[in-house]
Amino acid sequence: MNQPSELTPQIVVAASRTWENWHESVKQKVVQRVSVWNRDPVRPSIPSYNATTAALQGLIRDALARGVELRAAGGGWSFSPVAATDGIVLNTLPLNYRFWLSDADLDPAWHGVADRLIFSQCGMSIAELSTALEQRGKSLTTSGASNGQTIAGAIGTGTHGSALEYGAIHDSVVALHLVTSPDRHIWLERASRPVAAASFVEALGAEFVADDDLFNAALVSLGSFGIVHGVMLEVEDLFWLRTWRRQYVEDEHVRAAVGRLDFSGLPAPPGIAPGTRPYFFQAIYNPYDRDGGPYLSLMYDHAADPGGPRPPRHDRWRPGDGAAELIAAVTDLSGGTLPPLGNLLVRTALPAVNGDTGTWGEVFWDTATRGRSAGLAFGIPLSHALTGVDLLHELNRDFRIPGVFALRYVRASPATLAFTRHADMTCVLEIDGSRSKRMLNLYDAAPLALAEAGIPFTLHWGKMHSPTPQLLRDMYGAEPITKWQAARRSLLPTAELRRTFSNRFLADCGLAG
Amino acid sequence: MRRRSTRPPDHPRSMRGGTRATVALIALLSLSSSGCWYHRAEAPTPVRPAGLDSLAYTSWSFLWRSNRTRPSPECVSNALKEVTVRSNLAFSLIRAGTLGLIAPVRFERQCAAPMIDPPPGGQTASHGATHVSIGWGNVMNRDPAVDCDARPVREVAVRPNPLFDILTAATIGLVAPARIRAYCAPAPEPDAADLELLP
Repeated sequence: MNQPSELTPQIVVAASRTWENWHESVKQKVVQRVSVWNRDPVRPSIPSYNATTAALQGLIRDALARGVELRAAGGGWSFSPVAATDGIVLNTLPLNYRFWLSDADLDPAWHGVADRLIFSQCGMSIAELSTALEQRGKSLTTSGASNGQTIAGAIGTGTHGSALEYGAIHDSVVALHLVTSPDRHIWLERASRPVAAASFVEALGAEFVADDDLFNAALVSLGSFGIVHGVMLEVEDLFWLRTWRRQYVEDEHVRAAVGRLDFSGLPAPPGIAPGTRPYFFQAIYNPYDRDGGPYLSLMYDHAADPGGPRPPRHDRWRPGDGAAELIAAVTDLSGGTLPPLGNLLVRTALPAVNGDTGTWGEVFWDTATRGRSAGLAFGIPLSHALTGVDLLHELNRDFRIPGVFALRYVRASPATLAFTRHADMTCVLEIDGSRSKRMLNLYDAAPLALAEAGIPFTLHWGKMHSPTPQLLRDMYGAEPITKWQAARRSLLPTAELRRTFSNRFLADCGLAG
Repeated sequence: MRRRSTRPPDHPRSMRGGTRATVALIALLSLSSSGCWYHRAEAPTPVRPAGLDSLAYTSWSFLWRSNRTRPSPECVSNALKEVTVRSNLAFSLIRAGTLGLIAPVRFERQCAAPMIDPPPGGQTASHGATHVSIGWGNVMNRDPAVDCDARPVREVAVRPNPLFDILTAATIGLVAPARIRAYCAPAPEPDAADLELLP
């Protein structure tokens, strides 16, 4: 057992034994809520990081002794109960050390340079990571639009963006530091893509493991492979995005862009050559204005700042915490969303954008979405994108939800249980809005309708998701599930450890054993 | 998926327009019956919460002094992501009835996660903006802490204003203005930069 030292982290136990996620879709009683603070929270050092590793091992020891689950909650950003537990909730939000590397820290076989890597502690948020990278002239390649997730939570649940040449956030990860038991923590990377020098791993005191299957399984781990203490990410040189967004009448060219990512017929924004493939592309449909067509966002990357107005950071007026709940109540009670209300909300939320320019962190800065919102996201093959969105419009004639349909695009991931697994491009078909009864009823009906239409799909782990073992097998097939479970058993060899890092959600998936 | 009925809800055309409006009105009134509205000073991104409990308490000020709040001791970073200033009909009547002589509010404080190497910018204090909450907090204007830019908040003060209090009490919180000033955390010390792993 490690003795307390001047570097021992501060452990704060909350008085309350109730845990609730950010979007207020999961609330439950827990055994304990524990926050861990690095001893010197604003001065990162490897000795302090290592002391925190030891403290995390102590928490695992404690959970094992008490026979309760232990779960790192991240930012609590998931709509689903993937991070929930009735055991000990570990608040990792204060753990936000980051380290820049030198070439001496890298394996000689690594193809890149050290300044395109960052080693981040688990609690750093995506928005915070963007800011830190920008200060070093670097950038994430992708992220979600709403960025309050921690880096460990984002990769563990498969958070994605819509950068057409990139995968989800976890596809930028090149190594993981996993704390798996009271006496073991490992540095895990792909054998086929070695990244860290032995001296680096020794500095962390970790056991070196290089294994492609283990790594691919541990990427989207659902928080169940131990505590992800550190993440090594590959990043890009800083770039700027120019953004255009407006509503397009849904003609054949727009459908080609939305359904095939064929931009050859889409009118190009000023200064952009016709047919140029954007860096980022998404389509949002207002179900009450199908004739008006989708709102398309097109972002083009530039290596240097091309100028132009900066994206607005602060709204003059904004909705309060209860706005989503109010909309849900009104639309439930008044027989569904009335088109004028739906149109007003969508136009307010999606104003036209004409060439605003910003870095990734400036464009995707929002972390303030609050209240009883809801989100469901299907991963489907790109070839089914248009059929999928047409089907949702058809369904909504009965449900009249207070929400929108969005399409985002993500390169297929090698992670074993990535929901963005449909090669070579996954279309993420989303239903987002207020959490009303009508919305939840549509969430029940939509997967059945997709299955009936013969559209293969997976479900975003962090969005509304009520899994069953059969549903999981239908979505992923038996082999990936078997591989994921085998990897988990390899890293957590005892039943007690696997129980400690399980929860109800995992059991419902049939993945807990 | 959640296993519930997938039967579509009642067809919307089964309700007449007048009924819908009545039901919507009832919904609005039921929301207002909670008797609570709020203002919020929130340090913008990349400042983020530390995930501790939102520690709430009622603050009483007297003789037209401001209600003030700072981080609680368990907030290791000694910095706030946000402060929510809640009020209700009783508080508003006390404030309005005494013309600010006695001024209660309820503070909810969210501790901020540590800020390593925060970017430059941000003022020492906000301009003490008038913050307006409309529809019992369902719509709000510019955040009082926006001038902190990328730095967290160290203290929030609510200044008594009898006219605002009377307006708030008279509209039962439908229109609730307040004079709020956010004091930002100081700029980082020169050596508080993140470290290279190896020199």
